Amino acid sequence: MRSIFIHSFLLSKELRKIVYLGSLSVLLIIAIILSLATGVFSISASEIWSIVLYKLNVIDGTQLFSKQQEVILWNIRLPRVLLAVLIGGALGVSGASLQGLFRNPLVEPGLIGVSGGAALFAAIAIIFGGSISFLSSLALPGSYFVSICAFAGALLASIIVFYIGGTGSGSSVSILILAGVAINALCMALIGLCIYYANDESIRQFTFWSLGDLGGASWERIGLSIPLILLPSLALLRFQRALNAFALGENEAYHLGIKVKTIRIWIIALVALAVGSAVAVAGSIGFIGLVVPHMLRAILGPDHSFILPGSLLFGALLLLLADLLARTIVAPSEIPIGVITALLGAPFFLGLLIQAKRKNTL
Amino acid sequence: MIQAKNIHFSIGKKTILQNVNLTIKPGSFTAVVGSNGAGKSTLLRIMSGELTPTMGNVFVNGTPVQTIKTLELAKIRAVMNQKVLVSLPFRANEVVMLGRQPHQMTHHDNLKIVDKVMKLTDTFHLRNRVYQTLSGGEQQRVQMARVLAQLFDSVSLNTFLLLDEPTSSLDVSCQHLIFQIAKDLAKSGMGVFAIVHDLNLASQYADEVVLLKQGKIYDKGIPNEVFTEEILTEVFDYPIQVISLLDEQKPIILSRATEFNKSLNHVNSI
Repeated sequence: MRSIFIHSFLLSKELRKIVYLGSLSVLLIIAIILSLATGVFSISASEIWSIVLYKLNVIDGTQLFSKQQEVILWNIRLPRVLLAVLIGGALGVSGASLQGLFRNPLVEPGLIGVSGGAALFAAIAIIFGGSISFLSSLALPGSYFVSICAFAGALLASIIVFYIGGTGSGSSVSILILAGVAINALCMALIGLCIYYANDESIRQFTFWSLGDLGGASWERIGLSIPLILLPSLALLRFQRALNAFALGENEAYHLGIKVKTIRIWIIALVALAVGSAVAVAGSIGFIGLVVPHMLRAILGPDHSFILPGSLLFGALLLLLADLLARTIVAPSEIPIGVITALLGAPFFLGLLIQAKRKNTL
Repeated sequence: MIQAKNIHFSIGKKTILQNVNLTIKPGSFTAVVGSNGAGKSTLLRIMSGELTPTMGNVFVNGTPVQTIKTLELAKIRAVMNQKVLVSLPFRANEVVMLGRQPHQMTHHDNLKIVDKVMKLTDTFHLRNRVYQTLSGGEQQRVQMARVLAQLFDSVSLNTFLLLDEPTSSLDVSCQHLIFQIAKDLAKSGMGVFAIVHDLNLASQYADEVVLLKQGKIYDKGIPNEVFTEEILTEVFDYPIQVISLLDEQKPIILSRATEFNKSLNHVNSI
């Protein structure tokens, strides 16, 4: 009798995982179809299906849809939707991994310096890029130039933060967090200095960059994003068990057989790569990495074998929906996506905090 | 066995441990006593492989501890610290389940082990409570269950349990519960090493006691031999009385309030 009960408990945990992650996947697929269908030109689900099959050379049905629909779906909406999924997933799983690693619910991916460093280098590229003759002689398209600079800045800042806070025998989580805070503050100060010398046009351009924009999506960028954003995001899923052990503290995790230092380096490097690339492609998009793990923990509990894959799916879902709002509310114009994520994310997060305070579960 | 050979440990210019030689033998309960700052916790952290000594080395079953894979080490030695804060709202049985991480076993078998060790530590009724909502003593018993789960059914191998003040938040009956479990494990072949503040618990349960004073081993031996008024008064810098009852092998240790308090007198004179 007893073993039957244990079996049902065992099943119920595995079943719960399949049910929750399965329903998140279904929701994500629905949101993808909705996003592809919605816009100034509406395209029906069956037309989307025909265009995708046609593009994959499965059918030869050019009479099922117009050429215009094909171009809009294939060259504009599909890359944009895929980019939102990749970046949202990366921000979600990165936030969950860092909160687990640092044992701190307030951590978001920007904390290890990536956002600050990326923003500083992007500001330099936007404001002074045109006037540096060596750089303009490289003849890169403007948006690529900013992306490459932002990527370099993100990696540089996270390396500095990690070097100060994450290596050596006396390294501790609080030193790492404080190093991140200091580097971000320094970057903000230097951005301020850049803005002081900037003209109005480049200030406007930088402001929009810093609020995030998925409008630059193209197949070329998707191609770059798969190794730089998707692979590190998927690699983070490997640390489910280790992050559960980290909840007891780094020493306890070590006693449980976790290679604490190696895993710390891996997680920070993977997050820096994924989020650094995401910021480079689409600017800094706040709140997803902070809020997503909290929302999921409120429903699924703290176990990282739910939270890591869940954050990947749920982050993708949220950013996709936010982008859908960003480009439809004031169509044909767009609201910066960072405004939407913060506008909806912040009140929701406050609600979660009030609930957590009542239940004493944060 | 776990052997510490010629251990020196210093942070900057401050020496914490000097020339410590110690062996945790299978089937034996070794207790370390000493005043605050004597280096007890540092010694335990070095014995567990968590800290690398400045000089000397620790050998686990003959192999230097640094060369053993972290995961292999976790299968044969568990460590329980005084207070463990869990950062996420895990339930008590999920915390205990973390102790099964080093082992390749089915979830089903692990659940059975978790139930057993929670019953053993009298925490089974707390299994679905969120760890942070438990009292200090309940948390300590849950952590004890976790380290037991880690070493469960590997007792026949050469395994070691290291405890840093396992009963600091526990009431009298729970103190005896935990020490009785540790003693039973030692009897069944495990090597148990514990930092103990309560001299009477050390006296009643330990097979061997080690007295640490200012980073050096002052003396070691069976409780009857080393728990004398002379030695204890010297180690703790405080007058201590020892009563040996005829029908009882283990000495009982007493300490009284001293009649005039040196430090208070010092304060008054200012």
